[in-house]
Amino acid sequence: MITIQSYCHIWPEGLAKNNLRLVDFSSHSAESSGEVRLNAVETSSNTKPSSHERLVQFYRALNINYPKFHKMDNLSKLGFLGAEVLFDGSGQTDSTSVVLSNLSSSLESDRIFQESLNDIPSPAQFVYTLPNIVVGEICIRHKIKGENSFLLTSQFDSQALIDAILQSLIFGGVDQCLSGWIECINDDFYGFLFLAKSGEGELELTKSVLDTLYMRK
Amino acid sequence: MMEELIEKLKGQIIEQLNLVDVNPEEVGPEDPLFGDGLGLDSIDALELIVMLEKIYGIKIENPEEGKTIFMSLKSLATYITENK
Amino acid sequence: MSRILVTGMGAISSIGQDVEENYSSLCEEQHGLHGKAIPYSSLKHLPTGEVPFSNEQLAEKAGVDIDAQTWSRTDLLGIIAAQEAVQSAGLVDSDLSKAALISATTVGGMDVYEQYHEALRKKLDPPTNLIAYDCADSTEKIADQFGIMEFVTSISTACSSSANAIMLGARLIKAGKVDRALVGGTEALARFTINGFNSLKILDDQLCQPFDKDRRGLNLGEGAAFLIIESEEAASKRGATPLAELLGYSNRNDAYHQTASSPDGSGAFSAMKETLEMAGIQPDAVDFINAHGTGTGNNDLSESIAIKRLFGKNTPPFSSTKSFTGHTLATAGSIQAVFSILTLNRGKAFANLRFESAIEETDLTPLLETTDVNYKVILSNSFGFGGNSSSLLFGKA
Repeated sequence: MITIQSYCHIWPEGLAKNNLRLVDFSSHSAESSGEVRLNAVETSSNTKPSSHERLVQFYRALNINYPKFHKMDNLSKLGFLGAEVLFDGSGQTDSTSVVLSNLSSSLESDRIFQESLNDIPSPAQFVYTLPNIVVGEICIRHKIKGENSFLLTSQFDSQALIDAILQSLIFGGVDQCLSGWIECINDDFYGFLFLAKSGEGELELTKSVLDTLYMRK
Repeated sequence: MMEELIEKLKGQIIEQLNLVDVNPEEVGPEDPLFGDGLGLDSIDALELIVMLEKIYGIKIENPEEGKTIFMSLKSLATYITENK
Repeated sequence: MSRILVTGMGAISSIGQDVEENYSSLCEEQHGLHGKAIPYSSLKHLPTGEVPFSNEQLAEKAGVDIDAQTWSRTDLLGIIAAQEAVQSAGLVDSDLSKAALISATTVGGMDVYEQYHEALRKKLDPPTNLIAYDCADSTEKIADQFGIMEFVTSISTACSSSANAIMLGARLIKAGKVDRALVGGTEALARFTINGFNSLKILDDQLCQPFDKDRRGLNLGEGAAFLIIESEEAASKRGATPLAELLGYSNRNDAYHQTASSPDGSGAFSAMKETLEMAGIQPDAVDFINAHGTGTGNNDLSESIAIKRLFGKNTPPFSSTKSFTGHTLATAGSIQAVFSILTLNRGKAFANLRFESAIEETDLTPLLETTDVNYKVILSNSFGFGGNSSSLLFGKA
């Protein structure tokens, strides 16, 4: 049996692990919703922060210390944060594969790089014009050497992910797979990442479970 | 003059390379920028080459030259002064 | 578990508009690096492996109406190679409705965007067809062309993309999800890519020299290549003639740097080693390696070290066909697959052009000229940015 061991959601107003909010940027109070907000962050400005600013705020709120984070593009920052929350410093990444997905590939970074062609092309920006670089960043951080892939699908495709996850668990010789959807475009972002593992658990990896879990916060 | 340039370069490098959490006061003029120093890598070296061209109009064609030029803030400031 | 057989293939590159033309060029040691970057790039001095046809000519060859809807160059190259693969497998569209299609690309329809570059610079209104030119559009177009509906997806993992597409297709067949799959990749040259690689300073301003001690970098190329792979049962049921068997594959992550390979080639080593283990083949049974061999300082050294670690004194003959076609990025894995299968079937191994002297640290010399051979097992490597390292193993059918 393949089960979902843990999952997280990351969106401009908050970050949650297993439906528990770890960081909260929404304006309504913790008391009224009854949810625990470990890192409710006061944002004094009324203007909506950019994706970049918000992702850095998440990084700070989670007390992560990884200077290379600041070099990453938004897509990589998003994936990185999800992986950070799910792996949780547990060091158990020996036998792990990674299968992530989205619709727009690295389009946001592609556009920024394209802009730089009007002046002097930026090599640091070019590095991020591939959607699987975020996978590379996660693998570097967590020393993951297993299979890794990035699928492009027209919307969140739980079946495509399940097929790829099963392949890597059954044939790829790993015990767990970090998977999900990370989309970062038009100054908006949404990340839904999860750890799938062989073994017993409450949440079986099925299309309907994933589709339900994915739902936008 | 040199000190001024070094301070200016510090700020420019921090910005160009997104060294957001680096405290400028902790970077000495002769501290190594690469390796254990600021932990810069090969892509950072290329970005510094871009910065040199953009801000100072100096073109470096061969990235290998970068190794000596970017060794420290002082070596970079010296190179800029000599080649501007 | 089912054996995976290759029953069809198609390819278009700077050295040929179909498999036969590619084969002739390879035998005659005729490279295709005659392009001089693309028209609206200031980097005209960089040799590139351009497919020597305009988009209009490609559209005509593909039999599509270039005015009816937007066709990027990537779309056109992909359709042409996919059509050849399907035809060579003796399949018709109806055979494919329950097949899988896994295609790979990194540049997608970038060339379409760039046609309107000037207009966009001047902030004129772009045509609506530019608003969302998704990377995976070429896959959708191929699926539409053949009516493939069962399983369609796109992989974008840099230079190992199409190798990973082949691997995913094989796994779907082994898992019993589909009987056959159209797998491969397509990539067109674009100003974006040329400038990007140039900013990383890994392009050669002369013709590339993979594995040479004085190599200066890679030449970019474009093209598309597809395979039809099937389960043994499905192939034999319809009396298909197999071209080769896909004996093994593996994908690993180097976990070292976003764009550079680790000094000890660990990703490459693991990918090759596990491919052989999967196939149950010992290193000394590998007859030939179609290397990734881009011509960059970093890859060729890292790959050589990995090869020596795995094969030791039994390093088989190897070459990089990127010396002919340039580095076709996402397409590299599938085009190397086609070339490897040609070697297995036609008994000719292809040269690593323009090699003069070996890298000092590893002292490996590739195959220097087209050679008559009788090979049974060929390993093909594709190592991409993001540490994505893949190998495929092909055997005589």
